[in-house]
Amino acid sequence: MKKILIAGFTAGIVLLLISLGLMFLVIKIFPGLAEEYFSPVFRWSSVETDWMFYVHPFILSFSLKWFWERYKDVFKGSDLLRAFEVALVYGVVAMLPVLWLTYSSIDISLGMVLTWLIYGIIQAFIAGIIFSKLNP
Amino acid sequence: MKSLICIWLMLLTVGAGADKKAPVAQTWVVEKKSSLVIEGSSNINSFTCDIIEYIKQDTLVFLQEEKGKRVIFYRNEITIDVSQFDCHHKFITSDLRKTLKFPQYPVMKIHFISLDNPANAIPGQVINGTLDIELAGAIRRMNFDYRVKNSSDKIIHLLGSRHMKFSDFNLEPPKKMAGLIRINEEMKVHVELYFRRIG
Repeated sequence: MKKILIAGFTAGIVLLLISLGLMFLVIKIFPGLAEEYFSPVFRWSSVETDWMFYVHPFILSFSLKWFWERYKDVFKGSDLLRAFEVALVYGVVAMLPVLWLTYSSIDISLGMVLTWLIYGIIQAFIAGIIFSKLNP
Repeated sequence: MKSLICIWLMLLTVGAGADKKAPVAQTWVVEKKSSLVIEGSSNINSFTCDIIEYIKQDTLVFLQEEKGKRVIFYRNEITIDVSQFDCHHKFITSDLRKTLKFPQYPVMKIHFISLDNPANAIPGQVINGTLDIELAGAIRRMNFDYRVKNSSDKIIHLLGSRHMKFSDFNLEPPKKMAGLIRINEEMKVHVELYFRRIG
């Protein structure tokens, strides 16, 4: 249990920092895309909901940790290869269908959806590396 | 000698009466081509919101102060539709309107209080004016510096600008994604005023 909590929180903190870094990267590299966040489909920042944004890396890390513990024996090879496979599975199984649905129903650009897909795959890859190092 | 003193006293009396004569009110209309521009920025880039045509054509009436240095407005209000702000970016335009609490407060009002007498100014000179801005339910008194572009008996053309903050009007600039995407507090407001005398 202790190992799970340590791995989950470690991955959560790293994913939070990565999330912030990626957001700043999008602002610097794709300002046109970042401006889309001013769209009315996105909530205004408020005390009631902002905490949810900052908690999301921990929800992701513990979800992936659960997945890792159940299926880690399926992923063979080096730490990087195992992490890459976890990221691919997460991207294809979890993200692609949801983002497909999101794009079909919410007025956001394809570019925005693609950044979310890439963002999710990167997050899962980072979490995969941490789990394969801490709980191989 | 006595009659000379009498004439002198009469002249003095007439002169004093002229000084105390009520000042003549001047009536000016705010021309359509007057404009208001807000330069703002976000942590992504900068933007400009403007109203390039002032549609209402309100009328202003002012009096000169005794010494003629300033004019005091007593019909002093111009009204601007908040819905006319165009930020040339559909999301920022809609966020700005929401920030300005449209449609709860559909208009912004400017009440001119006083102004250095533009009749005494030469083109290029900077004159100062005081006005009240009523926006989103809050009223703030502010000083504006105007550069006189043209000033005659018939036309006054002024360019004014100053820095403001959303918080001056108890407003919060838009923030998204838990504050990672945000409009900055500071903005620069430019006004271009064309007054035409009608009375």
